[in-house]
Amino acid sequence: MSIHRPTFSRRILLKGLGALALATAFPAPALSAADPRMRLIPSTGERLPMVGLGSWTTFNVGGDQQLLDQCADVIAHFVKAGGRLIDSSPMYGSSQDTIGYGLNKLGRPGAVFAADKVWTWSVAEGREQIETSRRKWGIPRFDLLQVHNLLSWEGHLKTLFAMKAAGDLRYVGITTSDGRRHGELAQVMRTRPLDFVQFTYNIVDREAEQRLLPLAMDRGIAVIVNRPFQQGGLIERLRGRPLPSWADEIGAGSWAQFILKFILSHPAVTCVIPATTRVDHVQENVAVAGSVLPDEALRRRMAAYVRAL
Amino acid sequence: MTEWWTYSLHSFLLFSPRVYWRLIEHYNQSLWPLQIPVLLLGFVVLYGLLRRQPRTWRAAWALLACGWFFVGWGYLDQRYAAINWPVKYMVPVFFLEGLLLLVLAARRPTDVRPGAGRRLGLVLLCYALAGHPLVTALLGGAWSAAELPGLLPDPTAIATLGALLGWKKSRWRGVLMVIPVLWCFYSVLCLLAIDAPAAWVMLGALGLAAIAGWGLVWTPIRKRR
Ligand SMILES: NC(=O)c1ccc[n+]([C@@H]2O[C@H](COP(=O)([O-])OP(=O)(O)OC[C@H]3O[C@@H](n4cnc5c(N)ncnc54)[C@H](OP(=O)(O)O)[C@@H]3O)[C@@H](O)[C@H]2O)c1
Repeated sequence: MSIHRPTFSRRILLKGLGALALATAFPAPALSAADPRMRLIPSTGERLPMVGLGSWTTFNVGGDQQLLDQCADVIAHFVKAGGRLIDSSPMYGSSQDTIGYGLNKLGRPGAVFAADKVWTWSVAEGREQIETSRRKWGIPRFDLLQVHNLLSWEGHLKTLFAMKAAGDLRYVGITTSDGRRHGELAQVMRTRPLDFVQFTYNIVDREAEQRLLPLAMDRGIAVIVNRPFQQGGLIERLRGRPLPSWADEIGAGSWAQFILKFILSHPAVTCVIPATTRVDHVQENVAVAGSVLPDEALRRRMAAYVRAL
Repeated sequence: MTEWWTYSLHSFLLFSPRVYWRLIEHYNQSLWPLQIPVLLLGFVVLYGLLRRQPRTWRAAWALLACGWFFVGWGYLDQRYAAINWPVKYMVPVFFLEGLLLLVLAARRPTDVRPGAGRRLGLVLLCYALAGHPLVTALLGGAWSAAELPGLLPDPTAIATLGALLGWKKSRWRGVLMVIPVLWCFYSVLCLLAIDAPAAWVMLGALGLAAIAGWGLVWTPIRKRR
């Protein structure tokens, strides 16, 4: 199935939204919208806050009441700070239940952008799995469903596009991580009318800059960035090392903000989804949206600085 | 799975160490004071295997079987599977081991040939009963972190290996050892992934079991020469 899609800029023009520059010297990201914390979803022009929330490991707490409440607190502060997109998967243990618990405790805020995945070899079981996930979240429908790690992607994409056509789903996407199967992912991006794609990109894992990020821009596909901190490993390695004095220029007060700003300053990135168990960390992460982002020269400097450490 | 070489042990870890240790502590707290009779029954197993009277012998294997049933249901199914879904598929495997042990309980007591292998088997059994709960409590810094055979899988697997190694060599023993050995390997991988020193304890137990098992095979060969 090869579908012609209008280029991103044409679509945006068609929607009459116009590209507004972020408060950044980076060549005006075409994805920017009036609110500097927002990015546009190319396929619809809907605005989405650029910092989301992941849930792998961090929200897999089983029935531990204290930890469930801690996670609910993280979700509450995320939403309060203006965050919307929460990402999960049936692969993440009890994370979907935890999100359901958190949303319930919050009184089911309407603003949440529910992003989940389908992850099973069997295409026939896909719908049932999605329904189970939906029940765990406790929502009427998902905003975004993604084929997790390209598993049985051809069959699952058919299911997801059919759900979208029936109005049971708003957006369709596909994911990978840690640099795996970029060739195959690019092929899917070229040939399927995807709304979203999700992969790993950060200041040290930059392979996506070669092919996936430009392709997403060209095809008008929204990009969700996972593993911004290499599951915490990157922050751990940088801990104790000094931030450069010029980090102030972009308002990065910590390594986490430094890394997030690097990611978000790529014009093809729509949303980054750091995961955390801590309220102060979620606040620190969400605060990155809306502040100054580095320009291309500063991006190069940032990457070189981290490489040299 | 494609590009399998890009995956590390950590890639498969679904939960954080904090969640894992809290799970064990809460499980123990919810069962308290069941630990006391369970520990006493553990010593009944040891006594039964040493005595080898038909009744005590049978009771010992039947008690071990109950341990596998309880751990499979009470811990794996009801608790651990919530944070580590692959464990869901191990529940029937634990029940199978329990059933096999019940079949063994129904059989006649067999002679236990004295030897180093057997003594090592008994060391393992004693370690599972007394050593492992102490070591895990010390590593976890709380009594509620203590792992007891019959309640948690690691000491249950070690105790079963010890009991089987202290028992005369036969076809049955090999069959019954497969599941505990596989569990021990799985547990070592999980513990290594969360950087828990208990991984080395489990590896030590497996090593001891291997030495004991090898000794039992090796001794008869040497005697035949
Ligand atoms: N194939 C896929 O579809 C795929 C694969 C991987 C990930 N994902 C998605 O992407 C999300 C993010 O990836 P990830 O969870 O692997 O890792 P990550 O977001 O790169 O890192 C998470 C770790 O970073 C730490 N952290 C978060 N904010 C911090 C801050 N401000 N300062 C210091 N440390 C901070 C957290 O520790 P604390 O708890 O202490 O804050 C946590 O341990 C996942 O949760 C998942 O939703 C999808």
